Amino acid sequence: MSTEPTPGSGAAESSDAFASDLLRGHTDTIVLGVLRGTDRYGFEIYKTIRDATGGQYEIKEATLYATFRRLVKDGLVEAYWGDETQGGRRKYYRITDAGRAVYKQNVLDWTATQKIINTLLNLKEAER
Amino acid sequence: MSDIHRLLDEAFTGVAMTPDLQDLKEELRGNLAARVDELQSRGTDAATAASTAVSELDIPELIAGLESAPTVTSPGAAAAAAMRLHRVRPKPGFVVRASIASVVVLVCALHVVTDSASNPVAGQLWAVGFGLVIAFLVADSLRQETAQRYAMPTVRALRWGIASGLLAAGVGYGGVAVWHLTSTGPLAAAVILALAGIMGLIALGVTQTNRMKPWALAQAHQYMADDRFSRDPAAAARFGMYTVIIWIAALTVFVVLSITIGFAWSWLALVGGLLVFFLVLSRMLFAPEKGSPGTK
Repeated sequence: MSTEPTPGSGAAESSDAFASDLLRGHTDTIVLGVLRGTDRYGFEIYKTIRDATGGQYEIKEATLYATFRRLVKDGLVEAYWGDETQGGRRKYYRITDAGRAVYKQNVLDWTATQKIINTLLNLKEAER
Repeated sequence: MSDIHRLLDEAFTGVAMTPDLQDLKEELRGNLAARVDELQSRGTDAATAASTAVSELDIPELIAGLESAPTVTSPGAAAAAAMRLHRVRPKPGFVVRASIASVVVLVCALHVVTDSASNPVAGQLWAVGFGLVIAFLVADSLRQETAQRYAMPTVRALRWGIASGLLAAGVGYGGVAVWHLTSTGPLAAAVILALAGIMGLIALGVTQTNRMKPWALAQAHQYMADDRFSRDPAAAARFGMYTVIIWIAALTVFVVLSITIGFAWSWLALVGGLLVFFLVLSRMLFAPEKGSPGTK
C-alpha cells in the first residue's frame, strides 16, 4: 500500500494547496453529507467538518456560506429559522430528496474517479 | 455576548442593507453566538472570544460574495433543472410491497365470493383479511415521500388506511351478503362497517391540513398579522360585545314591530341591524388608528 502514491505527496506546503483545491471542489457534497442525518445550522456544519478531520482541514467560512446559498437556490437544501429565544436565532439547513439524490450520485462519481486515478497513478513500466 | 452584536453592526456599517444581507447578518449572529460559546467553554474571556469569532469570519468577503450578481440562466433551463431535481423517484421496496398486497387483495376477494355461500365464517374471515390488506395498501401509499421530505405522519397514514379498509371490507362483504342473502345479520354488519369507514374518511378529510408541516410552521412563525383585531385582541373582544348588542337590539325591534305593525315592515329592523353591524366592523377593523397599542 505504501507504494501507492497519493495525490499531493510532494512538499508539505504545495500538498496543502493541492489538497484544499481538491477538497474545495467537493464542498457541496461534503455539506450535503453532513446534513444527511440531521438538520444543522451554519456554525454546526463548519464545526462538524473541522472536528471530523481533526482540525486538519477547515473550509473557509466564506466558501461555506456561498455553498449554502447555492444549495438552497438549487433546491438541494432548504433553510428555516430556529426558534432560539436568547443569543442569535439560528438558520437551519435541511437536505431535500433532490439533495439526497445529488449526494448519492456525487459519491458514486467520486468513487469511480478515485478508482481511475489510483489506477493511473500506479501504472508501471511493464504495463505500458 | 453583547460584544458580537456591536462588532457585527460595525462590520455592516456603510453597507446598503438588502433583505438578503439582513438575512446573512442574522445568520451570522446566530453562528457567532455559537462560536463564542465554544471559545468561552475553552476558557477564553468574553471580550476576546467575541473579537476572535468576528475576526475569523471574513465579513467583507461574505458581503461581497452576496452582492456579486448570480448567474442568470434561461427560464426554460431553470424549469428543466427544477423538474429534474424534484422528480419523484419510485422506490423499489414500495413497488414490490404494493404488488404483493394487490395480489393478496385479489385472493381475499375471490375467497370472500366463493366461500361465503358454503362457509359463512370463513367468508367473514376473508372479508376481514381483505379490509386489512386494503388498509395496509392505503397507509403504505400515503406514507411515501413526496418531492420534498414532508411525508404524511405514520399514525395519520394508518388512520386513512383503517378507514379505507373498513369501507372496502364493508362494501365488499355487503355485496356478497346481498348476493347470498340468507339472513340480515351479515348485511347489517357490512353496513355498519361501511358507515364506520365513511365516517372515518370524512373526519380525516375534514381535518387534513398542512399546518404541521415545517414550511407552514416557519411561515406562521414569520407571519405578522396586519389587521387590527390580530394586533389588538381587546378591540376584537369589544367588537364581539358590540355585535351581540346590535343583534339583540335588532331582534327585539323585529319582534316588537312584527307584533305591532306586522311582517310587512318589521324585517327592516334586521336590515338595519345588518347595516349597523357592517358599519361598526369597517370602523373598527379598517379605520385609521391613532396611537394604537399595537405599534411601538
